[in-house]
Amino acid sequence: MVQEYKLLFAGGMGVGKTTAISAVSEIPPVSTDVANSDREAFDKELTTVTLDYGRITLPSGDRLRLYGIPGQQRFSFMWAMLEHGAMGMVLLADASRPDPFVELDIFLKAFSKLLRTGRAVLGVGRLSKRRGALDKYVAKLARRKIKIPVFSVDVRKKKDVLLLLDALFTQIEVLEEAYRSGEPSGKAAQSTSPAGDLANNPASDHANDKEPAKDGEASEKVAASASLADDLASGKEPPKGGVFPGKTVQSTNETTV
Amino acid sequence: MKPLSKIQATALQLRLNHCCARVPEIRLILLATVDGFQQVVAGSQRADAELPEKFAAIASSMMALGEAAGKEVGSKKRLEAVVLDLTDLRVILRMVGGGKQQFVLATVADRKVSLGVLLKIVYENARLLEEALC
Ligand SMILES: Nc1nc2c(ncn2[C@@H]2O[C@H](COP(=O)(O)OP(=O)(O)O)[C@@H](O)[C@H]2O)c(=O)[nH]1
Ligand SMILES: [Mg+2]
Repeated sequence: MVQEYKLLFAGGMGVGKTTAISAVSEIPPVSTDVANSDREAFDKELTTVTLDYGRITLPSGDRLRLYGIPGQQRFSFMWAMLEHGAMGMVLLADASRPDPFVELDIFLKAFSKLLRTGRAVLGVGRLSKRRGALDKYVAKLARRKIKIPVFSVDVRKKKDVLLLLDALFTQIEVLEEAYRSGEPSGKAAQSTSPAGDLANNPASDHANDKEPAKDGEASEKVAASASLADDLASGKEPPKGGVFPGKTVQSTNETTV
Repeated sequence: MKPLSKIQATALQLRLNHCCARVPEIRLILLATVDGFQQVVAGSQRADAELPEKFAAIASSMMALGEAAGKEVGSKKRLEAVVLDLTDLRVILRMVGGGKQQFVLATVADRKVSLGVLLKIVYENARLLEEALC
């Protein structure tokens, strides 16, 4: 049976939620962007005031519904509405902001319930090439007791957004497996999620680089995460067992950590 | 997006105050930017500490969602208004202006005022606001 899964794209104004969804959506995304009158908050022409909506059909026929939130806090009334029923979340941050962590913190708090289940990934855009630049983000998440993979990305590139989605599915799969086998999933996320590896390996801050990372192990781990991108490109079936394990818990209220 | 000038804001404020005084069933008239910042507010509910600010954001969201819905069902023209028919209240959101000065005019009224009369008031206000914007 074809399944539908709802995924949320969150993060502050200008981090690239709308850009990310339009990079991967197979339909012209539903956009609610209007003229931005707050150029001080972020200097861009348009801003999202309700939602973004896009869709991806997987080779299995399952569908991903991608919802983007409006990033400004005055639209926070939309956040809970959009979060409802989301299976996972792609959280985005913009490292070039004057204080990216203060902004990130708003979303870590607002979506803490979903984030603490581990069904999420963090993509950091415009990150400096300095080795270990991602570490601060990993530490920030750890302080908030959130264990999710962190990547350096440029969401204007389809392959980077697919990488985030693939990491998210892997993360969900690990959690589901742990859930089924009765293991405390928090422990599973800790031991098997890519987060730890990436965090401990600055060489993986490479998604923005043209050249793949030199470090063999790190690049391999990221390359392995590109399977969804490959599947979508080649139209072949997702990895054995499916990208989504059998019956995925769709309620965000289910806390497994 | 060009913000309202002081003179424009004052003219609009007078106009909206006058309208609320004339039709006491109108609780709130609010002019917001299309991205949800309140510009001018009139009516008894304006005194509510947070309502106008929050409602400005909600009004812009609903307007944009209305526009997206219209596009989805094949409308080729711009959205003029969104009507919320609550059992005790009516809310009409009307797009005002264009180009670099586009706003959402939100009007909240008791249901004692018929929909036809309320629409007439809203469209008349929109016309006068557009004149003031020129
Ligand atoms: N230079 C640069 N620009 C980016 C990067 N990621 C996103 N952008 C740009 O940043 C803007 C993000 O805008 P948007 O998608 O509307 O952000 P939203 O508010 O999160 O929906 C767009 O103009 C993107 O092209 C990046 O990694 N580098
Ligand atoms: Mg957006």
